[in-house]
Amino acid sequence: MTDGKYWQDVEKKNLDQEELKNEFVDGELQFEVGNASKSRRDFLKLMGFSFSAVSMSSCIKIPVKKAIPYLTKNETTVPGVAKWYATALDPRLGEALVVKTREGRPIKIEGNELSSCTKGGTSVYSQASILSLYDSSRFKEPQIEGKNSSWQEIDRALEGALSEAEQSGKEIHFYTAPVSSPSLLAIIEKLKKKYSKFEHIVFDMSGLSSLLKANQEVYGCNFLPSYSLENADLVLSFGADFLGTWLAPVQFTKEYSVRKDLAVSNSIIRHIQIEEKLSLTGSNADMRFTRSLNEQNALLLGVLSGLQRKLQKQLLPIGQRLPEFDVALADKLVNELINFQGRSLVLCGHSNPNGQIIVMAINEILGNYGKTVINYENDFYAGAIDAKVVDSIKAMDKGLVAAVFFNDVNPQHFYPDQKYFASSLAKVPLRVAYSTFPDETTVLCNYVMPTNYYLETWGDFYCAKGELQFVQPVIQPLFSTRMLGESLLKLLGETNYPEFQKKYLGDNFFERQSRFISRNDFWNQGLHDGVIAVTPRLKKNASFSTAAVSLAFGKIVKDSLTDSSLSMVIYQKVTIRTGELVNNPWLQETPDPITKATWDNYILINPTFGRELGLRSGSFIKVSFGENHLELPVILQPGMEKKTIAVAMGYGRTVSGKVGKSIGANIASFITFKDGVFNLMSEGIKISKLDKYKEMALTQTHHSMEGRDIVRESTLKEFIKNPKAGSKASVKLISMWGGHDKSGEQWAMVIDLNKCTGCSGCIVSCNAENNVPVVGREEVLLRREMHWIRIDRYYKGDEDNPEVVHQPMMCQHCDNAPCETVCPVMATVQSSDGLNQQVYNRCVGTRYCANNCPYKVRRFNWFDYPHDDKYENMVLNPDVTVRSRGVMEKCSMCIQRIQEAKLDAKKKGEVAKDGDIKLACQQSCPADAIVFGNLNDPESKLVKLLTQPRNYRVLEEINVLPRVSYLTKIRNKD
Amino acid sequence: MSDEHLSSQRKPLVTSQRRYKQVSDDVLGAIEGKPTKLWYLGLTTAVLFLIMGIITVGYQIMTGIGTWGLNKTIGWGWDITNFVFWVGIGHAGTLISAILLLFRQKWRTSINRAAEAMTIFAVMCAGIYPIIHMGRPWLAHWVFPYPNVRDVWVNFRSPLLWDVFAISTYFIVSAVFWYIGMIPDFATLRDRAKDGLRKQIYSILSFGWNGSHRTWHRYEVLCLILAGLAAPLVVSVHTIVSFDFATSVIPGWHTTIFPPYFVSGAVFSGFAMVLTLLIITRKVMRFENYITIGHIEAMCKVIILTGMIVSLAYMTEFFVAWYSANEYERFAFINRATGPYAWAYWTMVTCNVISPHLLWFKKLRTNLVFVFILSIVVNIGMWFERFVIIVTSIHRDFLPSSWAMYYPTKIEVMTFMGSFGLFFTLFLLFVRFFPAINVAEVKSVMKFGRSKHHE
Repeated sequence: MTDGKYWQDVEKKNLDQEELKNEFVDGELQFEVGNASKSRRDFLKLMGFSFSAVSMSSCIKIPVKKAIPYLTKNETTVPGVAKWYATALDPRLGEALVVKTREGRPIKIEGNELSSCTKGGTSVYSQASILSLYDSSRFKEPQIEGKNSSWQEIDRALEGALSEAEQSGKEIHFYTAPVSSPSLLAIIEKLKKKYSKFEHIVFDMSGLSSLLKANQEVYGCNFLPSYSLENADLVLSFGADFLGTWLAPVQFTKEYSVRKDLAVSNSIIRHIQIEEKLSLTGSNADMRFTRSLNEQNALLLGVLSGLQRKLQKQLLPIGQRLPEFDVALADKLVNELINFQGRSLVLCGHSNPNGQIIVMAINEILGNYGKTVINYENDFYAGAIDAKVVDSIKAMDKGLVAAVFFNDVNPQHFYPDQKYFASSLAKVPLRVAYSTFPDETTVLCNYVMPTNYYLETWGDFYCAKGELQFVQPVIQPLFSTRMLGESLLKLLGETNYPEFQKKYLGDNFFERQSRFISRNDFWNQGLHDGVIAVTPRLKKNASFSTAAVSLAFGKIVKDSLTDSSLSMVIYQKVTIRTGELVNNPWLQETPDPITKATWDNYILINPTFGRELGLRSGSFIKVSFGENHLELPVILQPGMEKKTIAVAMGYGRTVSGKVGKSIGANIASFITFKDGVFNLMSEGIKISKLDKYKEMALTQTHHSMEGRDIVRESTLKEFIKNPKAGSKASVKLISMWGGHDKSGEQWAMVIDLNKCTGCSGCIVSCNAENNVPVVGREEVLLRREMHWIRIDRYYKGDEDNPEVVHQPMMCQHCDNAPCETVCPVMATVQSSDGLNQQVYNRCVGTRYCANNCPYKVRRFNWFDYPHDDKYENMVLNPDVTVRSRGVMEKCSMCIQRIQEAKLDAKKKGEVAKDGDIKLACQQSCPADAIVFGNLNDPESKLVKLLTQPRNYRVLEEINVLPRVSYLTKIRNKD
Repeated sequence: MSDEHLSSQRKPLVTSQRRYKQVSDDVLGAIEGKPTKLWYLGLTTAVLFLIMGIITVGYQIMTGIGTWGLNKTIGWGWDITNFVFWVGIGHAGTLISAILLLFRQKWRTSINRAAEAMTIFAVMCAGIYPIIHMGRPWLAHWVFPYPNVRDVWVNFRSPLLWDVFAISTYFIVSAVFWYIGMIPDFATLRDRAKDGLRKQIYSILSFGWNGSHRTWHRYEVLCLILAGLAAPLVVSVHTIVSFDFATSVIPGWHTTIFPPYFVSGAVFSGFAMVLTLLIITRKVMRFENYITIGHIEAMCKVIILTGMIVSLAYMTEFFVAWYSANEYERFAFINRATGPYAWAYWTMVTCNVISPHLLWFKKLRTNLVFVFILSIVVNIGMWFERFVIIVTSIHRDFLPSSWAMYYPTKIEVMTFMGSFGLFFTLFLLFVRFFPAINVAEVKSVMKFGRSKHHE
């Protein structure tokens, strides 16, 4: 026993020291390393050290990243927990939204389900709008004469310049987009009072001024009527893309889809579309007819006169000769409409008021007013009166205007005679831009007062149907910008716009509701809910003027005599619209629902006509209209009228961020001023083929279903006879394996193809939720877009008037997933709740899974997609991994949302209820076409849809057992 | 080997009545002497291609698979085409050395060494592709089932994993077989060597071979055992490669005929490659007496046979596609023959189905220039076969919305050329430093020294 050694137990205490020494020495395992005799242990030590030394030395130095904690922590902010705020976007879109913020950053837009207008639906536009908040091309500071300035300086300078302008006795013009904000209109009224010659000019190129103008003619009052598709059994649309871009598409889609829900009732809406180009709405119609605008106008007269004859009412002057029209079609439409008096709705999307007036007459004669068309009183809407724009620019040219303000409008881009506008504007000494983004007009202004983006601003909108929507900031302004209301109040010598707004809304709307008894509650709950229902007021003393109808009739007859060999219509894309967010890469990369083209501006042309000219998709043509020219590639688009070509507006920007700049061409010079409105059609154009070609970046290049059983379709008649109509005989599936355990929560999804309109909102919603990267035009050309959900669009039948189907397609989460068996490293596996999960960390990127996927929904990270814009990175969802190069990704069924809902329920000691979990695509879908839920919950909405006879799975016969199923599309046609 | 009698009716396997010493001088002298200018030229070219390949692969690994022409629909293109192509080429060597050894085909002795070398180099070229085709090649070791703290394991259901085992086993067994076969010749080289370094190196390589009866006995037994091991591998490796496709659900891939179809295709292309190489080697190294017209003819006959098996497989595929009444399957094959990649399909048919039949004519079969060109044609055809199977099947599968086209990029072409650079660099080094003909075994099939006995 040596001193200082401790003994472990009694036996060990007396052990011989030699014995102890040898206990761990294994003579046989000793071997030689080098010259010195080393034991196995030494060798292992040596090896362990050298291995770790080698691996340590080969480690890359990890850059230090600093996380800055809150200095004074906000009590309501819990890191990792999202906060939601209600807000709203743009009066015309009229979308009530809720915004998800994480640690103070807005990261996702969702629909506000409390809204009676949009009922939780969103558009592709509002979904993408979150990214533009972080657009680094935004104005960051006020500017005087192009030089950065401070707010104090610019306020002082502007005040001086304005009082000078006022003293000169000349006019002050204030340009805005259509305004439906009561408080903003009140401020404008105040400005009108302060400045003696203050003119509010509404500038809008979305084509709605024709509707206002028509109402002006017929009712003597400039207003927008409200339409109710919910009360309609028949909707007949003359070129109105009401599901895509016209008026309030989200609201219309909501109402339309309710009326197409076969799970509720067999009496679904019938939709007839007559249009010159294939629109998103036309692609959803039960019956669609391709007619040029002039043919449509003539047809309208034919229908009206037919209805007059049958209903013994008179609106059109009798005895006048009608222009030539398609008698058979008119008779058919008359017979349809007669059956649905008071239950039908006729819409017109023309940018010319004459057709609008005839449509109003048809609605009037059918007794639709008050039922499907409602004229509400709306003091809180300022729509575009195009004549005022023309007059204003004339006044500028004459030097009668001392100051002009522009608020988020871009007349320099849109005004038909750009040179004239520029020269007129140059004659105005004081030019002020209240804009968020730089554009062609702001560069001509000597003062730029950058406004907050809508997510940084206070505001409000009023919907004539009786809804007050609140806009509130969800983040401090990112840059040195100021909200419009505040800037305008400054001119009045006042401050605190929110306070002003609170008071004004209280004064005007508090009395019109009964839910709240105090004004404070009204305001607070309004901000909380985002919307407050107020009693709508019906328009009084509005009498229908038949004289206006006769006048419109005369004009249409006159127009029909002019040469209309070839005309071009200017339309809005569902994604880009009028181009305010043209610098938004999400919008640019979202394929157009019809053409499936991304990143481009192009001319749509009838395929037969195009081929006659020797064109193919991508060939350039030159369009001439008087002295104006336009050079763009074409897309041979089925469903285009033969003598009409179409081009989207909003492109050809010369001043914009790097994404929006230099795509396409500006169509402004093709807009004409006719019948008191800007006419988005140019007649008598000439086209010639150019020797130039550019491949179009399409996400789908094959447009036929090849007769395969992919989208099932039938007619209502067949469906009533046989609820399984459209389904092929189901296959008998056999398996040697019992399958996964299906107890507990088992997720699945049903997509109603009868409701889905193909609007593509889900694509952008998914991009935002799941940090899906943008890849750019060149990569889309290589067919490498990363969208987790895509919408397959197939044509059928006649090329001039095809039938179209849309099918959302994402990971089908197969039970027998072919991707899972082939992955060598088990990077894709089935979860216990039935989802097919991709493990990014484990993926080595063999791409075998993508090859073996029958639905081709897997997306591979071909490169490290850039995430280097410090502003844009703020939009990333911290709950979702940003995938690195070389790994596969795909729809995860928003696993982060499922987990969150499950955890929330668990904390309460419950299980997630049906409807607690809403996936990003599902939430944003304005048509409610996507339903997600638990297979094992017999009460769930999902199970009710799964048991519908219309339910089917795509490619059922290969026995991959997808968890996503579809409901057959049923067309209500003859 | 055994001193069994060779009929005087048979053509001698080694011509010109070479003596044993002459054989050693012919084969080993080439190693001991200075290489020809042609060899230097060849090696320089090959190394340049190899360097180009290394740079290209380096660039691709730095930048991403996006440098290739693949897309969301077509996940495999030239990468896996080239992989299967090289694995296929790597079939002939082991077939010649193992299966022909078991079948006691004496004529194989003068070609088996070079063919085996070709096999090993081809498998090396093939092995590059599965690694570089990965999105994250630096994690390639994850495909091996090694114990790890992350508690993750490989997926034994995945044919790609089977591939890992099949190819690595095949490579190891082939390499061992090749090396064992070279030991007696290394010993001869050692014994002939004069200067120190050469002697030392070949001493190490020859593993202490002393030429005793015991060493010869062990050598023969080991060769037989390895042949027995290698023979099933010849069949298994390409069978398993074919599973990469056969076990999928994609029409055009999901086919039970694939294993025999791929194996015969591999033998077909392997023999073609052996012919290409040996016709050059024979000329450059002056091995006309060992690689005779008889050898060339024998290999041509194998090509005719395997070519016909492959043709039968093509026809069977079409028949079954029609007979199955499966619309996707039918479309896949109609699309092959008439779709946008029809040119590739018909190139394949021309090269693989039609051209081998020219070898029925003895005149053509014995015309070395013709056989050389034809061997290249067959390999082009076999490359296209893999391209057709891989790309035309997935570019238009179930949902027409995802149909797409695939065009290779410069990077892919240069990587493929780089793999040829690697192959030829290794092969040229092989003929320079290793005995390209199995001297010991060739001596055993010579008439010399035996024929006199019976005169």
